[in-house]
Amino acid sequence: MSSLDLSNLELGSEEAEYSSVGFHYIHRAQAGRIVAVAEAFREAGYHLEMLTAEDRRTDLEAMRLVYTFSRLDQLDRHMVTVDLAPEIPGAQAPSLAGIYPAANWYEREVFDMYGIRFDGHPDLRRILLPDDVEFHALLKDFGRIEDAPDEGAANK
Amino acid sequence: MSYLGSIFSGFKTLLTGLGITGKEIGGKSVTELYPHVEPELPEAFRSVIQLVRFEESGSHDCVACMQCVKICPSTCITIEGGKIEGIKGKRASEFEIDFALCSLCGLCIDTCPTDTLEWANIYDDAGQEREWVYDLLKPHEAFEEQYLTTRRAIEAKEAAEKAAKKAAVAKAKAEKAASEAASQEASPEKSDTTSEADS
Amino acid sequence: MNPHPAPALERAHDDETYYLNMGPQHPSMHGVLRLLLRLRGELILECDPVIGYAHRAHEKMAENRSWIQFLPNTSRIDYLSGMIYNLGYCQAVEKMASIEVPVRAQAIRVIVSELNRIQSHLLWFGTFLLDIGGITPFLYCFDDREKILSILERVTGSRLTYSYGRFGGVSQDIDDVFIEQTRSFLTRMRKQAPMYHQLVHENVIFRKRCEGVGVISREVAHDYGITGPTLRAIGVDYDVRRAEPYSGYEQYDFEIPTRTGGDCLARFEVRIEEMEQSCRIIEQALDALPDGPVKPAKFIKKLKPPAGEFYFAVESARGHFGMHMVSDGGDVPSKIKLRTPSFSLLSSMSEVLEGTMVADTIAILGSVDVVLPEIDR
Repeated sequence: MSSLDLSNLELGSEEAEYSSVGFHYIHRAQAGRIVAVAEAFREAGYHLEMLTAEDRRTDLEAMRLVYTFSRLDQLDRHMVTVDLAPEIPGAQAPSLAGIYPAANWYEREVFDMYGIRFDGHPDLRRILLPDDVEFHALLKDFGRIEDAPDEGAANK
Repeated sequence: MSYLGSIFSGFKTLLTGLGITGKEIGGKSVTELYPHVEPELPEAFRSVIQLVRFEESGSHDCVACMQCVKICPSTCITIEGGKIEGIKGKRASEFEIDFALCSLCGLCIDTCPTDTLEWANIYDDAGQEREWVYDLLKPHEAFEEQYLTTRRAIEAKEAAEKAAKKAAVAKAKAEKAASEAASQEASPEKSDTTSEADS
Repeated sequence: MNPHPAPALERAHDDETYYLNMGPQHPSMHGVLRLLLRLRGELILECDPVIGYAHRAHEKMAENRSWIQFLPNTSRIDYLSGMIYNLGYCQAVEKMASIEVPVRAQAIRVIVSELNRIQSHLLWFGTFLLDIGGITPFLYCFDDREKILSILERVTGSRLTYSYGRFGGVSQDIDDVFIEQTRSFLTRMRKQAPMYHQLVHENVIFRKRCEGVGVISREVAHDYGITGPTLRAIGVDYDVRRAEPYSGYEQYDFEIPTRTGGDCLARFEVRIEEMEQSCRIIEQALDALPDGPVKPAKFIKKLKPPAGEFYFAVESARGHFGMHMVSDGGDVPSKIKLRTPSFSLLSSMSEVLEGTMVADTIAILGSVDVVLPEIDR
């Protein structure tokens, strides 16, 4: 295990105020470098706490992936965000399943909910929704409550 | 030998467990014989939602402000209300909650500005059809006439008192103005001489 | 429509292997979990957990409701730690929007959260033993659990899905009867715990089914992000209440029980000891209960939190429950991601269950305490 070395990885890093946001650093990474970033964290003894995505096509013109790396022996949480192309289908990122087996199911869930594909994932298929549906549920233009047939009083 | 020994010691552990079970069998039964015995309900018990019947006014106090409708996460409340003649403010004329959707979260009770929503104490409510819409104003129908009459009387009295007070104040003001004008007329030279002396 | 088995399971097999579907309707599956197993006799060659049968779209609901309207959902994500999730969500939103919580409300939150944890472990104990064949302790545990549920019903009104937290405190204050009932429950629990221990711990059948079974190594735990009592049974003393204290946990004196075996027996012992530690915390919180208000004077229903990304975590009965919240400054969240501990646990099961027997699968799944609703959300 070595100490964390994030140089030469084209990261835009910022320190964050832990007591207000809950993590210590936030890094902006390029999609092509995320594997090297994950390897650096793995070398330094961090585990992958969470992997999720956000649909920011309207305000940031990107589909955003969010990774959280953390330690068990001391409090040190790093959040890494990767911005991808704002197209579904089309947005894709390299898979971390070879480095962190935890990423296997997280990436399947991101694919299921957002449609982002992961290159190199051993088994990319849907995990929560039925296998034969054709939508990606957490995209902002799918299934808004305003579009639902109105039963009862509207409250928005 | 150790094989037989382990059988014996293993069997002994089974007997320990059985001993505890035997002790518990002889103990008191903890079964509550519901429905022959009514359960004890705590004060904070959450059942369906109902409108409070206030003692003073004899009816509910819903002013159809729609706060509960806006905050309900399950959009299960329907309210219609409006102004009633002779009464200040609005009053609900239709109040329905669909309990098939309601998750008993209590946010409507917390947000009501007149505190007119509360938990009921019905523990054995069951719906027999798919439709489970409750009309919350039904239990208050009998008291509505009485409430409106009393309320109109109270408000009419208050309005009359207020009008009388306003009239009294206006009268006092008019009298004061009249007396001031009279005193002004009585001493116009006094003010003229003082002004001449100054200049 | 039959979802085709995973490509990993489609490799050429010899005549002695067959596929077995364990679940989703199965009395020991701890929820609607489907295990697609490739077996040779009783030996599991490959295992593919299939989930999604209890998917209720909580994350989608979070994007369509305001911050206060999402509160009832949080109890239902993991209904066995409903209070912990509820209060954890309130605390996360309070930190995000910088809302102060009075000290009495913090102490009450600790008391009801620890009662919730004991209740969850009691249910786990009963169902774990039920799964491996010991039918007796199930109802004993439920009897003790009823006491907790009555205590919590007194103050919140519900037994399982509480919407007790509010932004800035809790919705109702506790009274003297609650304190007295909790204290008498603690006395009772301390008498019952040795009885549970004696009932099963030395039992030869229990030992044979749990000792050395389902060993999760440290590498596997690190790879999959496992937390909670499963991780503590491997020797890592990580607990969110110690690592990132919240709601006043830093002022209470409690131990974090660990074992080194990493097998089912170690997980069992860790949870029994955690119940005792929770009793200790409740006792200290009751002794030091401060006076004061329990909620803000005005009911907070509209929030204007700062825009940005936030991540807050609490220790649920199963491990590290984290909430990643994205706010755009408005009253409706842009996204809430619920990072639940059972998701990581179940994703490691495909590796842990390979090479075990079918009967051991039941023991292992029971001992890691997976709750499907929080995996599927």
